[in-house]
Amino acid sequence: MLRYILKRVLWVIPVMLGVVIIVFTITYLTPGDPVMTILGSGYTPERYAAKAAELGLDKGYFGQLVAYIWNIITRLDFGKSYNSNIPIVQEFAARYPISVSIGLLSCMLIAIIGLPLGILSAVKQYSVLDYSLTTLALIFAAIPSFVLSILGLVIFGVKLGWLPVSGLDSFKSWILPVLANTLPGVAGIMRMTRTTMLEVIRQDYIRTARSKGLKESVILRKHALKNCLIPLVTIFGGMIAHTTAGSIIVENIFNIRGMGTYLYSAILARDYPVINGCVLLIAFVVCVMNLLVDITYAFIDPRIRSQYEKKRVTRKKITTTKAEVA
Amino acid sequence: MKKFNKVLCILLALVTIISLTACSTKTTNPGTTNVPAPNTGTSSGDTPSGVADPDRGKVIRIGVTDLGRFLAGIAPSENQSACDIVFDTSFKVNPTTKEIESDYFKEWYWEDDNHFVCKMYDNIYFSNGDHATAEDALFSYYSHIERGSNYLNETFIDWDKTEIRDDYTLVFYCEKKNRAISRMPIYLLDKKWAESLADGWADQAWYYPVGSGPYECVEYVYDDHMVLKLRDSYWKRDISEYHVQEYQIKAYSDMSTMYMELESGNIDLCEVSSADYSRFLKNGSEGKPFNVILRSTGVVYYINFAWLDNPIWKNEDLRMALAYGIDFESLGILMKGDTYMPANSIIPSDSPFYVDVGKREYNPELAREYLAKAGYGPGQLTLKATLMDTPIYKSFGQGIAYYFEEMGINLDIQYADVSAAIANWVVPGNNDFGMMYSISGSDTMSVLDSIQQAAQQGGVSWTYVDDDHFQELYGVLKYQWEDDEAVKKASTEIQQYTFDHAIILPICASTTMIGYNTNVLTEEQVRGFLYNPTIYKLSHASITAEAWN
Repeated sequence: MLRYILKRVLWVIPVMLGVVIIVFTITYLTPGDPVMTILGSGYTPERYAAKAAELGLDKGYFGQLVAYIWNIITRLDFGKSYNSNIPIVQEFAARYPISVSIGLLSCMLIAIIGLPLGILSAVKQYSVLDYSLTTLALIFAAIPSFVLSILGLVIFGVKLGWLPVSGLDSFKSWILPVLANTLPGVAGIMRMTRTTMLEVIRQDYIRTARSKGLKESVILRKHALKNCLIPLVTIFGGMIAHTTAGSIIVENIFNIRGMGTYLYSAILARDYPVINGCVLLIAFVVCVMNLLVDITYAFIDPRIRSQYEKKRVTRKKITTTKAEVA
Repeated sequence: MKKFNKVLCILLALVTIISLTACSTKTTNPGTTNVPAPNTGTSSGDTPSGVADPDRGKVIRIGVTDLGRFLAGIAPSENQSACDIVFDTSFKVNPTTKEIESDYFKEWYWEDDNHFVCKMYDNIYFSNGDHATAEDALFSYYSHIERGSNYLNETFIDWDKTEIRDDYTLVFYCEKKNRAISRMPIYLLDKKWAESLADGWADQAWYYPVGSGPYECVEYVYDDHMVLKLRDSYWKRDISEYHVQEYQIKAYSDMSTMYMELESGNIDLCEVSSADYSRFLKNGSEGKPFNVILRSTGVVYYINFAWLDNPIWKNEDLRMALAYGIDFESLGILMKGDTYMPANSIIPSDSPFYVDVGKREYNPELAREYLAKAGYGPGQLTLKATLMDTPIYKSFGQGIAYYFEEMGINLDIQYADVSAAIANWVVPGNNDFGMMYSISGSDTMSVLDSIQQAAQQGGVSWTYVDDDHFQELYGVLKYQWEDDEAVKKASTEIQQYTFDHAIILPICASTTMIGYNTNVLTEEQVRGFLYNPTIYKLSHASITAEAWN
């Protein structure tokens, strides 16, 4: 098992390297001159050269790429923002915890609300409850989060005045952004849970459990739920990665100083070091989440776990046979 | 269990109905009070209680879409709203009198035909305690150019050399007298402090600069907010004259959220997007203490012909064809929607220098006749232009394509992002025409400021007007120093000449919508705050203490 985890961890390295090279190359090839952007129009050739040297842009492609990767690995230095001259890692430190908090809170709510509702909907298939929940899920899945955000702001922030319009200064101010992030996710997870659960509860082993006279709640909890978790964990892993990386739309609408707003303003200002840094961070989070998902598979599904244990046993057997032959 | 399910179902249904009803309910009551008349910006409650609250306006919360930085040059953008109160400025225009005034020059005059003398006050102190001299002033002028700040102002720089005559006297040597030199807003910098920063310029000067103005930046969080506090003392005025103790400037990435914050009373002043302004025109303030005013920024959008790049524009009949073949009112409405404000002249109609030059009615028949007279039959003329891919330029492109097709002119329009478009514009020959606006023409709304791009070569290649009489009149505006009457006459004549001969075709005035909290500010104060697009000239408002009582 440890070997499996180690193998998966090592896979992150080439993936990240690939992402760095792709992102860097795209930026390198993108038209536009960052030195000109910084200096404006009133620069002399000497100032241009000095600034280019300061930013390391006087080197060739490989020189810049190697320096970029080296700085990230050795000093966790993603460079400075062209726009603000503030080290990118400093902004990450200030903004990432905010995005992670919103993202994790949303994911928690998605799990708490979406899973039980999905199970309930599957168990009570074709009932009024099932139809109501499915319809609601469809509505929330169809409404984009920016529409939900604006509706929430207009109704609860401006018209009713119950909740703050922007920022994250108080407990109340967390409600709208978290809900705007949560509701479409709840709908997705609920529908997915329902479908998977329906598939699982029609399996022979569930029928066998019923025929053995087990309680429905025990069947659901001990036999059905575990088996429907695998596809859900896959989806949930991706969801956590994306929500914690910062929701650009929700953060912008609620004026939250997180990763989403940082990336958005960097894109608008063509602040390439920031864009690169954000993309790398998002890629890293996605890799880590995929890794965690894979590890979780092994824990929740004995079949996957046994595959690795079998391999180990087989290898041991082969080694033993060879030794015996010798 | 069944009962529980039923109750749950009913509850869910109720929630759905309530949510849907809440979303679709018209919460407004049109026709009731507080619906403002378009363009007037009548306040809905400038004096809410009748009794002045002494603390009103002590803290002003301002919403902006870009917090900007201090002394950062034009790219990245300089925060002029905050700079205005942190630094003293060489020359600026009083929005009320329209006269040029200076914060740190006591007097300025032409000593002879070539020497422009500026005498500083001798008691200027920076916030770090340093004493300001002419050395600092000279450094400020050169560092302004050096950092590329407001590069358009460089067109005003036409001195050959400078001289520090004594501790407080700075002299500019110019080839001939000109008015432009006293229009350059230069912030007074502390040379010793600036030089001590060396490579740390961006870290310090962009966020916590040392100025000699009445306020200082005490808190700056990038992309989030900044706080400007009134200093304990100010060399120029008694600090007790200042009413506003603190400006809190907050950045919003979404303009609609900013407007909602204004509606909710969480900010006191902000720019309003045209979509929100349309909503305001429809619904009014709905009883909430805020108001939105529309005003021109002093800038006019106009069609420029690339006189230097394409000699066809020397033909007046061709220019006339376009002047009659485009419905400028419709084009302006397409571009600006509810915020449309007409402009027949090269300066907006609310400028004190505006002259009623007349108006051409849209006449496609006459346009085709002029086109034929110019020697072009249908489909024989092809014009090319590169436009920015911003909404206003796209609307312009859409409109102009229609009118050109009506006239039988082939059109080749390319769209590019802002930097690519500017890069395209500065290369001669890339464009036959373009849409430009008088970028720096806002402070005085005067003709000189509005047409400088049409009168100076260099930069965007298609804005220069290659017409002798036009340039002659511009010369009077810029270089005539003694004879004010001659300047006034030239100002009137150049507007009329431009219209009569279709030198430049004005489309509409650039407008800005400013929302403000009526419990904190009055319309008069807000109008006094600004005379630049999206830039609040805060210093003026904060010292007009009588307006607060």
